[in-house]
Parts: sequence; structure tokens; C-alpha cells
Amino acid sequence: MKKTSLKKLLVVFSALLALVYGTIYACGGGGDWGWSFDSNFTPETFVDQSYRSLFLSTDIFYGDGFDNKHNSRFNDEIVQDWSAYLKGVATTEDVHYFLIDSSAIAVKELNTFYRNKRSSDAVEKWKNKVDLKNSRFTEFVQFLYLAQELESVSINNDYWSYEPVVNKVYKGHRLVPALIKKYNSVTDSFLKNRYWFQIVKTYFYSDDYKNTINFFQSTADKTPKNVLYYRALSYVAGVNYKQKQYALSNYQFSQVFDQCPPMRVVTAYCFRPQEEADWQQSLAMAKNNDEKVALWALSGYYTNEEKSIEKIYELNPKSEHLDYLLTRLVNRLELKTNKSFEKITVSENKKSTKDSLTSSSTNLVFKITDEGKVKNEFLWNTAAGYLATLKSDYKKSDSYYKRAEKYSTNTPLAINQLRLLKFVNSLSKVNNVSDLKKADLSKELNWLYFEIYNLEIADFRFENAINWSKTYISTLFKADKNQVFSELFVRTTDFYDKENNLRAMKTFLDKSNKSDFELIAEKVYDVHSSDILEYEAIRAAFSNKIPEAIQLMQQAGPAQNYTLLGNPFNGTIKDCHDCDHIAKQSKKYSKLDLLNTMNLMQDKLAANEEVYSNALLLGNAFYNMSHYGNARVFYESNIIGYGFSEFDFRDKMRGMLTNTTQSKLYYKKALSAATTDEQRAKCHYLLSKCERNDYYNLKYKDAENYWDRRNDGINFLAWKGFNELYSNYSDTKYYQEVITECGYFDSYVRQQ
Amino acid sequence: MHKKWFVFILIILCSCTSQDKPAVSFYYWKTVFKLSTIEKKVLKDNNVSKLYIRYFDIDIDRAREAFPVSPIHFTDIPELFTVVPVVYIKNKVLLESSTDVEELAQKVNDYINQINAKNNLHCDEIQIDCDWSLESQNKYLAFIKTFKKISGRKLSATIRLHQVKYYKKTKIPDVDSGVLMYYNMGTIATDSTNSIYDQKIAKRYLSSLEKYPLKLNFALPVFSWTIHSRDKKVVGLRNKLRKKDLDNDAHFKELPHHFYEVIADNYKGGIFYRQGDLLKVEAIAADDLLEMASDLENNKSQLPKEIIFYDLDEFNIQQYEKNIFEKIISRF
Repeated sequence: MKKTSLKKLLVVFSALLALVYGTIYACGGGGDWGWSFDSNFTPETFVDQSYRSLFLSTDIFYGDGFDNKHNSRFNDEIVQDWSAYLKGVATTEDVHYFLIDSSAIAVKELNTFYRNKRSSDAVEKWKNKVDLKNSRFTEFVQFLYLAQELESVSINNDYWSYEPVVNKVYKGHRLVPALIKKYNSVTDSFLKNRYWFQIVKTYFYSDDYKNTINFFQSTADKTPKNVLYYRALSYVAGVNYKQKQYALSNYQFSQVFDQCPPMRVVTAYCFRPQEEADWQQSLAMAKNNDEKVALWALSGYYTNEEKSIEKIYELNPKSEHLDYLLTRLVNRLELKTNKSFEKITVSENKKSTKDSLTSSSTNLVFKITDEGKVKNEFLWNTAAGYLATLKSDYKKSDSYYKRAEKYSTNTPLAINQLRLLKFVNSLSKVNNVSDLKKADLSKELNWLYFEIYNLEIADFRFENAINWSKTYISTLFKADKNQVFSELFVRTTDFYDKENNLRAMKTFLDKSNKSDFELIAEKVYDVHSSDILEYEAIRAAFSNKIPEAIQLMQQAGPAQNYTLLGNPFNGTIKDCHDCDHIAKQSKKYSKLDLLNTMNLMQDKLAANEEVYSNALLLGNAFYNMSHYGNARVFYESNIIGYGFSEFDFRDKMRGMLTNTTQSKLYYKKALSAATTDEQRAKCHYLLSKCERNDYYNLKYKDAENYWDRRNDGINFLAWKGFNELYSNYSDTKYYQEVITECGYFDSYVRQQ
Repeated sequence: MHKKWFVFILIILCSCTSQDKPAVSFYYWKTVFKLSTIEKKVLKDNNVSKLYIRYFDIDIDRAREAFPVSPIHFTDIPELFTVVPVVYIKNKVLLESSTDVEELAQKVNDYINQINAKNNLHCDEIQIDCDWSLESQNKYLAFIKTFKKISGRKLSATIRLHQVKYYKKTKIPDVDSGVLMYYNMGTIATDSTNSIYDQKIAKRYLSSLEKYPLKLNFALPVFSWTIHSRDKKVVGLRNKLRKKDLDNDAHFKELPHHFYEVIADNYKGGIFYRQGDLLKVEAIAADDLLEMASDLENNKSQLPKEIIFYDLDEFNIQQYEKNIFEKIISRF
């Protein structure tokens, strides 16, 4: 036995049906995290936890994706059972150690001690903690000693260790006689039951199909029908599957499913009728209605919930299995609903949802609910109410919800689940803005949009209702040609590209004395007045209306003080933003500082003071505030957007951010005012950077994204500025700097 | 004079031997290696000496760690064949930021060695199968480089059609040779196209073949499957479901374009078919295989050493005439 598997001690008690399907690896993680965004109906509200893995899933099993509890499913129960047996002898903590932790060596040493009184580290340690002579503790150790031996075949958690056989088979034949001897000799019913289970398990892992079945059959009558019994029955079912006795195997698995809740996920995995005929045979094996119900309940997981519900209801309307199947049916039906309101009215949306639902399913749910024979009236009335909403029968829905309320379990989840569905029904009744006003849903909207997050109710699916209701309300206002309210509930990317929209939104946001509904609309919208002012300020700056930009930016709240990462007045040879950001900066500029300084420079320029310097610095400032410069922070904002690539911005914004007109204007002014060749050389080079940017802008004008660009092999052209620099300023110091830093210019020069 | 004739005849003979034609090889993709009588006969009849055996896949677990999935087990030992272990790495393993390629390469190599040692096998070549993307490209190329160094064996890799056409973008793994997978051209979808092979799709890529710098063998499909869909969503691939199985079962009704509709709920082959489900049978006919061979022959840059058929399974092979492999090879 390897040391690694010695550490995993509890396989004795695991229900790994390796012979049937082998280990189901846990891959990738469950895909069910997103249900809250697709569903209004939380199955956890209504159904027992033992069915949880069987809720409708986008993966194999709900929640975890795969069943990953092969080695741990019964840990708690076993510790509890043995702790009760050893009460007053060993603490629960000690029992846990022996059963779950790495106790193999201790067990071996203690067992040796019982045989020949030889002391050891384990004996020395444990004799101070428990009475080693206590007969119950002695039995416990002896049981563990025998049970742990099977682990070498029943567990393998070491991914990268290759086993040359598909299923490891236990080959220590001495184990079974020892177990049978103990089984026959012990009188304590607790121990007898455990040895009984251990014998079935050992036969199973020894590939001894005949004895697995024979032993089970010859002793089953004398054995209590507890969890161990059904775990043993699942080994028998596994053996029958392996021997192609599919009908019998599936029938037995259905019994385990029915009677042993912790095994539900395991049996759901193992239940696998091969052909229609063997499924019919399984049904024929059922001795009574309850056994038939169990078969339909298990088959409903893989097959057709509607049919299973129908059959189970006929056989036993009080069956608990109906509940999980109903949640699957509802979750499956609601996935068919139309979630899009694009280019359609709310009425058209609701009609397409109504048409998508199969009437046979909804009618079955209505019929069963109306008959009032089921056990879980809360679930059935809630489900019927929801389906009635989806079928556009809102009055019917109201009456089901009224009954549901009567039967509610009143847990926080139950209360809020019903409230959510009642809200969905109320809003679904609304067909236009005037209905909406009459409905007065402000209280419910406040609850849904703001209060619900603070409730912190596990599993509660509410995000879908939030998104659906916002889109629904937005669509109502759109149909009413109220662009502002439509935008408030669903933000659109180009809303602010229209001046009328911008003005109208400002008027709304600045309005005092808003109604409750208006306050909700304002609160759900993630653009504030200050964002709009900031947007206007940036637009004014890019249009070279600096005083106006200053005045707007001053009203834009904290954004005006956001610090730029580099010096926006630097004009560098390379456009290396990171270099500019880490360079030493004696003065840090905020957005507003940049505008104020630009304003001062423009004043000086107007007064003909230091024209070259001021024009050059203004050229640099416009360059740096654009997409190409080191001060992208200047324009990155709520309405314009954020992004590394210019393609991250909508067309209109991309046009503004990549426009080089203003920087060229000032570089040309600087060039006209330059008095030395060094100054002229610099202006020509900086203009060539703008020319380069314009070239690429034009080239990629129609590209949708970076990957859409044509690869024509052109990295750079002989820009006008390169030509000037090469022809007229090769003796300047700046020329040498460019040669060193700009590889393209260097290449250009070498080609001349 | 006699001597000259002898030499001349010898030259003629040499140039006519099978060395001028690619060899027939097979992929073995089942998880337990056991050859049926039919499979053994196909291997013998086509003088197959090399088998590409899928050893294991690599996936990532819940803790985002790479682990081997469904390793091969040998009931028969393929003593008569040169074995090339094939390891299929899921792209998501390489997309996972925490995957350390050196560690992974070491583990994969160790695991192959364990499989070989425990089954008394030996290999001189290993093949890596991965549908790497631009996002995982760097990691994949680094993995190949490291793995080659660690394994010290000849290394080959599967190459997809798009990787041939866009090799400047997708780059070429540092392997000794590649295998062009001439199948799985479309997406597994509910529409009427054949996802295994479509000459129209293939033709978009064929012309790039002669410019591809890596030495290539060709892998051709000899498998069929049925795509099972419900509510316009694919719910599964049914590998062992044939047209004739559906024709002989009253639960299924034939529709145009290789489709079948489930007309009543039923279990078949361990799978539940719900009324209204659609099944699309996708198969590769012998004529398709010959067409592939001719198209590849007309566009190849050099003669492939092997044509590898995917995959060796009597269920697949029985669909074809006995001499199909010979006929395909003769097109090269």
C-alpha cells in the first residue's frame, strides 16, 4: 500500500461505485453560477437538500458540475455513529482522527498491541487519552484495522500515478474470512451491521460478483434497512449492471434513490436503462406503487419531467419526488422565454414567451395544483402562478399566489421568492407608460433594485428579475418616445452623441422634487450630472475651447482633480507612456491644472509672448491628451469610456480622441516662430508623429477592431518630417537624438 | 550485359516498391487497448507497423491544476507495432494562467514513462495533440520546446487546417513532423452541414499546404457519429449510432439531409431520446476519402510518409470495402 493512499482512510465508508462507471473526475467546475441571471425560480426555496444536485443544471449535476463526494459523502454520519458507540470512551475529535485523518499507522500499532501487548509510539500516545482496555475501543480499532485494508483498491486520488488496470481489484483473500468471523461472532447490533456492510463492500472490490449478491441476499432480511443497507444495495446494483442485468440494476438503484437521500446523486448517475425493453422490465419489477414512483422519479431526471410528474401523480400525488421534478420543469420552461426586447414592444415579447411554452406542461401543472392533492402546496401554487404569468394569464397567477402565501414555509427565501414572482406578475400586466404610473410599483422596485442585496439570502435568484424589469420599463418608455427614461433604465452607448438627449438628461437630473419613481430611475442610472459636465468639458477641450472647458470641468466634481500620470507638456521622440509615467515630474498636473495651464499659454500666445515655447507646449498638450499621448487619463471617463485600444471607443469618440488637428496647428505655429535649427528640427519631427498617426487612422478607418486591419507590410512611410529632418537638419543635436531613439528614422536614413 | 540488366531491373523494382507510397497507420483512441479479430486483420492486410495510441488527455480540475484523464489500459500488448503515444491537451489547460509548462512537461513525460514501464512498452516518438489558439500559443510553443528537451524523443504534433493557412500568426511548434488533421472541419451543430468533412471548407485551406514549412503526414477520418439535439441545442454525440439502427427502429423517422426525428420517448443504447429530438447522421463515405486523398495529393508540398486513419475501431472499419486503405494510398 502506498503512503499516499494510507492517508486517505475513509474509503471503507465511501460509496464509490468504481466497478460501474469508474471515478467521475471533478473537471472544470460547475456551470451553474449564472442561474440568477437567467431564472426567477429558485428550486432551493421548495425542495429538500438531498435533491439539490438534481436541480436543472447547465452541467451534469447542479452546483458542483460533477459528483465529487465519493470519498466524503458519509464522513459526518460515520463519525457521528461511532462517536455515539464510543460515548464516554473517546471524544468526537479522537473518533474523527481515527476515521478521517491519517490514522493507519496508529491503528496498525494499536492492533498489534492488542495481539501481543507490544508497546509503540501510538500506544504511548493513546493510552493517556483513552482507556485502551475498554472493549468498545478495542472493537473500534479491530474494525478499523480490517476496514482500512480495502482502501488500497477503493481510493486513488493521486492524479499522476498510473494504475495499469482499469479498476483495481482487492486481492487479499484473507480479509473476507476475518470479516465473516467477526460478523458471526459479534453480538452488538451496531458492530454486526458494520461488519455486514464491510463484507458486501469487500466482495464488491474483490470483483466477486457471485458472493456480493449471494451474501447480500442471504442476509438482507436480518439487516436493518438503514443507510448501510442501501449503500450495500447500491453495490449489488453495480454488480448487476456489470453483468448486464440492466433492468434489475436500475430497479435496485431506484430503491436506493427512494430510500437513501444521501445517495440520490450517485443513483442518478448510475441509473442507466439501455433499451426501452429493459426500462419496461424495471417497471414490471416494481412490487407496489411506491416502487413504481421511485422508478419514474429517477428516470424523470434524465428523461421527461412532464411524463414522470404525470405518472407519479397518478400513483401517489403526495410523493415528495414530484417537487424536484416540478422545479426542473419550471426552470426548463422559463429558459424558453424571450429575454430580448430589441425592436419589439413588451406585448410582442410576452406573446412570444407565451407561444414558446408547451401547453401540455403548463396545463398539467395547473391541473395538479387545482386538484389540491399534492403535499407541497406552496411549491405547486407558486409554480402554477409563475407559469400563468408566462402564459399572460395574470389574474390566474394572482389567485395561485394568494393560495401559495397561505402555504408558505415563511423562510426568508420563501417570502422573497414569492414577492419576486408577484412583482414579475404585476409588471407583466403593464402594457404602456400610463399603466405603469397607475401600477405604482415604486415600493417593489426599491426592494428589488436596492434592498435585495442587503438581504444576503443564499441561492436566491433575483438578478434576472432586475435586468428583465429594467429592460421592460425602458421598452415602455421607448415606445412612449421618452428617450430620457428609456436611457435611465437601460443605458445605451450613443445616447450622449445627440445634443438633445444630453440637454434633456441634464434637465432631468438637475430637477428638484423628483417623484419616488423618478428617484428610483435616477438611482439605477450610473451617470450623474457631474459625469455629463466632465464629458462636456473634455469635448470642449478637444475642440480647443479651453476657457469653456475650464468652466465645465470646475463643476465636474472630483474628476477635475484626477492626477495625470505623466507630464502632459512633454514632447518626446518615442510615444512611450510608461516611460513618461515613471519619469521624474517636478509638478503633477490634474485634469483642471492641465486646462488652466493651457489657458495661460494661449493667453501668452495671443499676446505674442514666447511664441515658440508656448505653441510647442500647447502642441504637446493636445498631443498628450489624445489617444497617442501620455495623458489618456484626461479623457477616460464614464461617458467617453475606458480602453487600451482606440477600438474600445465608439466611432464618434474614436474620431475625437485620435484627431491630431490641434496638435498639428500648434506645432506649425511653433515651427513658424522657431529661431534655431534645433527648434525647427524638433517641430518637424513632432509633426511627423502626427502625420504617422493620421496615416494609420485613415488606414484603419473602417476596421472594426485590431484584428480586422490589413497587413500590407508597411510599418512606416517617409513622412514629410523625416524628409525635412534628413535634408535640412542633419547637423543638429536633435537629429542625432532621433537617430538614436527612433529606429524607423534610422532605417529611413540608411535607405537614402 | 546480364549484369547491366540486373542493375536496371533492380532499379525498376526499387522504384516500384511500397517505399514510394505512404504507409498506412492508425490512431487508436479507445481507453482500453484490445484488438478485435477484424481490427487485427485490417492491420495485417495493410501491413500496418505503427499505431498512434491515445495514452491520456489532460484537463484542468476545480483547483485549476492539470491532470491526466482516462489513461489507456492495455488488455492486449501491441508487441508487433511501433507505438507512438498520443497525448491530447485541452486548450484550456494552456489558457490557465497558473499552468507551469515545465512542470507540466515533466509530469506528462513521467506519466508516459509510467504507462510504458507498467505495460512493458517502449517508444521512440511521442505525439502531442492540441487545438491551441492565439491566446494559448506562447504557452503551447514553450511546452513543446520543453517537452522535447525533457523527453529526448522524436516529437510530432497534430496540425489543424487553420494552423496551416495562418502559420505566420499561429506559429509552428518545434517538432520533428506534423500530422495534418483532415477532419473536424466544421462545428458540431444542428444545421445540415457535415462537421467531419466538407470539401468546400477544405478547399479554402488546401492551397496553403505547399507553403507550410513543416514536414506533414496526413490523418484522414474513418469514423461517423450522430449529432443529437434538443430544442436546437446539441445535447450529445452518439458514436455508435448508425443510419441502419435508426431505419430499423419505429421510434425514429427519417427526414431529408441525413436527419431523423424522435417520434416517441425511448431508451436506445443507454441514451434517452425525447420525442421531438433531432438526430443528424454524419458519416464519411469511401468516395469522400478518395476525394480527400486526391485533393491532398494535388496540393501537398512533399509526399507524406504515412496516412494515419482515425480511428481503428471495427465499428468504423466495417463501413468500408476491404481494400479502401489500399485505394486511398494509391492516390498518392
